Amino acid sequence: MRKAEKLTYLFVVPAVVVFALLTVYPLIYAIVTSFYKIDFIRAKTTFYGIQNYVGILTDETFWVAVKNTLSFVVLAVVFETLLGTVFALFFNSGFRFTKLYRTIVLVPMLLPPITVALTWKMMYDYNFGIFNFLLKTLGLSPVEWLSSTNWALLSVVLTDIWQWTPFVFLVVLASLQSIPLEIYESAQVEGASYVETLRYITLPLLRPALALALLLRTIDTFRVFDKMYTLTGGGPGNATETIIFYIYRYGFRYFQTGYAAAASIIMVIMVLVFSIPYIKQVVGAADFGRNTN
Amino acid sequence: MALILIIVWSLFPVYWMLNNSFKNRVEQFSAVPTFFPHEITFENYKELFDNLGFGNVVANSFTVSLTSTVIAIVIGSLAAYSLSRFRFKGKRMLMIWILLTRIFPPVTFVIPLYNIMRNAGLLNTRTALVLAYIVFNLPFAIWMLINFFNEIPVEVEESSMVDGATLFQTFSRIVLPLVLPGLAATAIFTFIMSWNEFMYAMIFIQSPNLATVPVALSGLITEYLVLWGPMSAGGILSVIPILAFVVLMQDYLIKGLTLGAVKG
Repeated sequence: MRKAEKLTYLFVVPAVVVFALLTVYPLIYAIVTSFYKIDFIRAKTTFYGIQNYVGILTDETFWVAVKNTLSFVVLAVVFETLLGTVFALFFNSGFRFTKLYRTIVLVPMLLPPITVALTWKMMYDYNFGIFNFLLKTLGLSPVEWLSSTNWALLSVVLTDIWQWTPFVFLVVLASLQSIPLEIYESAQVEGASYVETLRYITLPLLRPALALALLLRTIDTFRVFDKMYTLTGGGPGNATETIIFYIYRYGFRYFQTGYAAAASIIMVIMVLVFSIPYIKQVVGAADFGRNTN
Repeated sequence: MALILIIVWSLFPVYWMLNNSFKNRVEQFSAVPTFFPHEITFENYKELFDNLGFGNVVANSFTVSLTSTVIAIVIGSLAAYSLSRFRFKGKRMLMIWILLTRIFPPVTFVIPLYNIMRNAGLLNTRTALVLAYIVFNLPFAIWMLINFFNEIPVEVEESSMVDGATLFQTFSRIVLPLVLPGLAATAIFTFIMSWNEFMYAMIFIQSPNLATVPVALSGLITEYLVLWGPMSAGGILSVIPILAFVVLMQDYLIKGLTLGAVKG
């Protein structure tokens, strides 16, 4: 690594300017706004102290949204991780045409979330959907997938699982394929069964990959908006209202900008808290000093 | 057997959309869903373009996604090159900030950006979307490109500099051609992310004739309007550019999606 020449700065300047204008400035703007009460109709802005924060933290609906978000994140991430790992283990057991099949498994994660949500909405339809048709064919009673408070959140979770299991699959498969074959061979020589090998060799070696997949999925599931918006609109009642939906409603339906900004700051803090291990890992791994000669 | 299950699970919704996009209205709402259209019709696709202005919508999505991708790649490759090669003041902070912007939920930036765009008179323009997409495309592009630059040995550049080439000449004539596959992979990723984006597109754009594909699609299914047929047809169209790319970039997927934390 060389010491910077003056010209280097010219290379970085455009990016720094863009970041300053489009991320740093907006973030400061959001923090400042969160301490104000903004009345668009009378075009009046009054300093409000921490009143917005107090209002949010004492709002029951907000805590419902937090609870829904956490249930959504935990359910989706746990099942995505389990299913993704199972898929990866299966693929790693080796059969022909893996590359083509691997591509097929990856498809859901690349599709526009809106397209995914709309397709599932069609399949969830109470009267004409394929799911209820299958249930009826099997002699079971149809389910109100999206309009009953018991099912709505689970239906959105299922859609998210469908879309994002491939991501865990991908990360875990990459990790599996980097395990040297010799380890398995010597385990075989020792007479270890498949379950034993899995339990004592494969899973411990997968830990870093699993941790990474879990964290990235948690960060991304926290921000899911498109699926709720399309499938349930936060309803029925507030059964699928999540934090991001809460912010959206206050910011863009009621136009309480200060209040919504405060809620988004609270959300950032929550996301940051559990991202700290990830930040440390990535910053540590992104060796700042490669190509040193 | 397990393989068949996995494939059905992965492809069924896509197949179902494809299936419905070729059914006529009657068949779509028949009590017994058909797994293959009795009578293949193109009326859904026709309606999409003739009455629902989808040609325009697809053009908007392409314009916004391409523009934002080009900007992110140009600015991003310059920055990533410096970050990969040189030591300078504030480098660590810049790296951490780039990572943080990946972690912050996009909704954080929506409210301030909305006000900023409104004050700048940019609300309801495609420019607003291009700018907003750079918020997540640029950090992604920089982080991914750093990994690609790191893979190129410095010696190549050093000999070029010894021969009297300037830093910029070395960068543009020697280094860039070497990372071309990396640039292409990064560009495809930023394109897909922009193409798929929904929240910013819905909030910053109000006129239907400026809408992008995801927003236009979501408008086909509302409380008052249920157009399964055209929606399925549009869904299929929204997927085509992506499927085309998937085949091209398989090998770079992991690296991109984990910001290089796992080597592909």
